[in-house]
Parts: sequence; structure tokens; C-alpha cells
Amino acid sequence: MKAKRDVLAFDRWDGMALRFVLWLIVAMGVGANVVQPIVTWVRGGSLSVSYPGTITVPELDRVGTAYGNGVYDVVIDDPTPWQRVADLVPGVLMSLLIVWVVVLLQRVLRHIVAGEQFAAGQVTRLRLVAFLLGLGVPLVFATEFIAGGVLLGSVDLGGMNIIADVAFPWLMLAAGMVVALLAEAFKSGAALRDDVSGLV
Amino acid sequence: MPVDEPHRITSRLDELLETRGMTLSALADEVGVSVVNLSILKNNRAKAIRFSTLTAVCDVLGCGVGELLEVSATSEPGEIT
Repeated sequence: MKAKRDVLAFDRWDGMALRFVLWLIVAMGVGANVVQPIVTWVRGGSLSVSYPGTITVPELDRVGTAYGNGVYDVVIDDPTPWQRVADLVPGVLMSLLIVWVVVLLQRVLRHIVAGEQFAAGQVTRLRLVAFLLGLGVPLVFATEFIAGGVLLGSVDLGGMNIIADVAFPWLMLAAGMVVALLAEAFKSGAALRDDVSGLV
Repeated sequence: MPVDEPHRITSRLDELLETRGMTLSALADEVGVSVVNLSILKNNRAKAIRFSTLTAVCDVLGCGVGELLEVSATSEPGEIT
């Protein structure tokens, strides 16, 4: 009797598709965070810095307006080299983080596809991914926040105050904790595998 | 002796096979366990054995558990002979 095919099984094609998606994310991340700013620098283009501020639309005051906060783009036409570097640093850090996470996930995937789900090192790799997602991403966000503040502080905002608009990446923290939980499951799996190996 | 410490169980499967003039592969066919697994048992590399396997091996070889497996003595505490 032919065994029933598990349509939800993660097979070789799923592995290839996942690898493609992961490296696509790397390419897009590096492209946007590193390549594009460097190309702009080489071409002598302007620098754009996000400035959170209060939105005012005088035309709407006649009908009654509730003012709120929005994000403006402050353009630095002729940035200095250190301004370019300050703008580039968060992007480089984020790209390194993305590459590191993808390389780790690739190694985890390789062992899973090879049927060695609980091989030595899997738990460590997953814990490292958890750390990079849960703590590494917030650290990079903090770097971006500081770099933005430094850049805004270096330009004349016409007397406007810099408003600190802090958005903590809670989703990444939660994702990191979920991966850490998964690492614990793999740890139990490795222990069970050790118990079973050598079982006759 | 704590459970975490290495065991001192040794298998006398090779002696039993020789006495009965049976090959390991023949025993594997009779018992329904792979030659690889029986080889692990024969060479004392097994860490655990299923009761079903133990029963089948003893039935085929016509022996008791104590004839198949024994606990090695230690001459001194912590030393295995």
C-alpha cells in the first residue's frame, strides 16, 4: 500500500525556496542600507534625515484641526564626510546583522534538511539568532536613533526643537524570544536523540 | 551508582553465537532486528536495549538474560575491569 504523501512536509523544494528568500532579504538589506548610500556618496548626492515634528496646516485651521506628529525629511545638500559616515553606520550594522542571521539560519536549515535536526551546534545557532533578533536589532535601532540625532544636531533647523520619537522594535524582541523557546525545544530533542542513539 | 555514569553491562552475544554456530546476520533475520543494531550490541556499543529485542534474542538463542548480558565487576571504586 502506497504511503500517504504529507503535503505539508518541508521538502527539498521548500528548502531551496527558503534559501532564495533569505538571500533575497540579504541582497535587499545590503542594497538599501549600504550600496545605495555609498552610490549617493560617490555621486555627491544629498543626504536625507528623518525629522519627527508637529504637522501644521494653516488652511485647515478654518475648519478645525487636531495637530499631530509626522515625519519630515530634512535634506542636507552638501554633507560632510563624517555626516555621510554617521548616516552609513546604522545601515552597515543592520546589514551585518542580517547577513549573520541568514548564515546561521542557513546552517540550521542545512542540518534539518539532512535529517540531522538535533546535531551538535543547532541549539547554539538558534540561541545566537534569538540574541541577534531580540537584542541586536534594538541595538541597531538605537544606533540609528543616535546617528539621526547627531545629524539633525549638525544642521540648522530654524529654531525648531528635535523631538525624540522612539519606537522600540517589540516585534523583533518577541521574535527573538520565540526563537529562544525553539532553541529549548531543540535542546530537549538533542537530549532525546542522545538517549536513543545506541538503542538496540 | 548514579544513572549518569557510564554503565558496566557487557554482552556475551559473540560467545553465544559461536556456541550455537549461528552468524550475526542469521540471528538478525530470526529476531527481526538489523545486523547493524545487533552488531552494536555484540561489540558492547549499545547504550540501551528494548525489552522486545531482548526477548526475541533470548528466544532465538534459547538463553536467559543473564547469559546474554552481565555486569562487569570493578576491582576498585571507579575502575572498570
